[in-house]
Amino acid sequence: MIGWLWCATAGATIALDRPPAVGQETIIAVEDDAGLGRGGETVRVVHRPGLSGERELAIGITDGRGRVRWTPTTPGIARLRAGEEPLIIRVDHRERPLGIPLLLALLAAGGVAALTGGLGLPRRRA
Amino acid sequence: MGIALVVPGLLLLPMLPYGGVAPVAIAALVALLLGTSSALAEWRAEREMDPVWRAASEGASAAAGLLIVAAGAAALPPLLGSVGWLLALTVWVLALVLTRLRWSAAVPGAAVLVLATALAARAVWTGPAPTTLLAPRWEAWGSWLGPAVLAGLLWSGCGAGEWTLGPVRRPGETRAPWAGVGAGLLLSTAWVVLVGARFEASPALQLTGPADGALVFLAATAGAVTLLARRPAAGAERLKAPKARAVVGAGTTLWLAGPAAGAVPFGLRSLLPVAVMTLCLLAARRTAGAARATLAIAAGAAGIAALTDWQGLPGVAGTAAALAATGTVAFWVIATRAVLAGRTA
Repeated sequence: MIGWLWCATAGATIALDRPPAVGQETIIAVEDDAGLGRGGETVRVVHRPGLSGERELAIGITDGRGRVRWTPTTPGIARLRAGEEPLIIRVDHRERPLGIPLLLALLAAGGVAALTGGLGLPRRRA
Repeated sequence: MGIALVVPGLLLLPMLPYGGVAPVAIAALVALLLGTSSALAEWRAEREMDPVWRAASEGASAAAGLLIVAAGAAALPPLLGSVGWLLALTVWVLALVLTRLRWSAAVPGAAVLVLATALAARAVWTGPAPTTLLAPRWEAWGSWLGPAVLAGLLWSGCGAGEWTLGPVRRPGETRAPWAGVGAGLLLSTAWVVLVGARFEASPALQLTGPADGALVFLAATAGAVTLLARRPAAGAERLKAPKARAVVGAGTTLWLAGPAAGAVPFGLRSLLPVAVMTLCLLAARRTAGAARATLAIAAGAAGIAALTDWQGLPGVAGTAAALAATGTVAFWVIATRAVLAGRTA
């Protein structure tokens, strides 16, 4: 009995009908080794896995065909879990994020400006 | 400038999972608003005339610089395994060779900046935008503020002997600390982009990779060149020859990579800010007016860094013993020099 449970868990696969994106409904399918849907499986998502601010949410329980609908609300890397089976996914942003690239560009520009200014040695003598 | 290049790998990259790019932004603000001005105040301060204080402050500066560079080189074995041990020693041999070739001393510094920028540009060009790991988490400031403030001060060379032991002072010069800030900020930005892109693209959510080994090696070599090129601390004239200092550096690296590896976080995040704070206060003694106020504020910032990021004494007996041995040797060496300087004065 224990061996059968382990096989069933280890053999489960998680599949998505489309790349997940914020605000767009995605169907998650949990199947066993034979490709049959596994009903009654709780599907969870962990946003920012392993990072500060990690957040786990329950998506729902699969129906008789092994499917559950999910509309992501948080972009970025996430880990889906059905039973013990994990799947790392990337939830796309609804719009191209500007804040982080802008901050990085500012930092890089500041670094270049400070470096080139500081390397203006030795100062010209009159 | 060499020490500024070692700082990102030691203090800022480990903070990525806690604060994203926020620690780099705060380090940049601290460096630009406080680090450069306090470094200039330290640079312009009169030389300490009291031989005891001079030996103590210069010894502490040398110890702080050695701790940073040796800890940077000691990060290679955990990253690269047995090859890392060989590279950790190669850092000092290569630095010794480069120190003797006048125009080659800047090679590792330039190389690490070019390599990091190229790798980051390629990662962004070919992979997904690194938004998950780099998303700034300002609200988690308690986890990363201390290392960020300390990195901002150290980029400008404040408190680590950059402007007291070397390079040679040029009267009227005001721009040199900006080079360290620029190099540290540029390397940090490129490196966090590289790590963020790696995290975003790898199915196993990897934070470290082989490229980090190359960057750590080059940055540590740049730092080692800086240490070997400057004058020895007062009372340490026996270490005037770069070869002697390279041997001390290699020995410290092996100690920090081996028996004292567990004590490195305490040394970097608790003892180092206290040392920077003390050195800023000692430099403030020799200044007046705005320079004294700037150095006092920098000392306060280093004190805040120590308080907000206090690591606590190690609970493992071996680590505690290694920390006690390191602290005792450092104190004994610096105190002995100060006492001898007082007697001979």
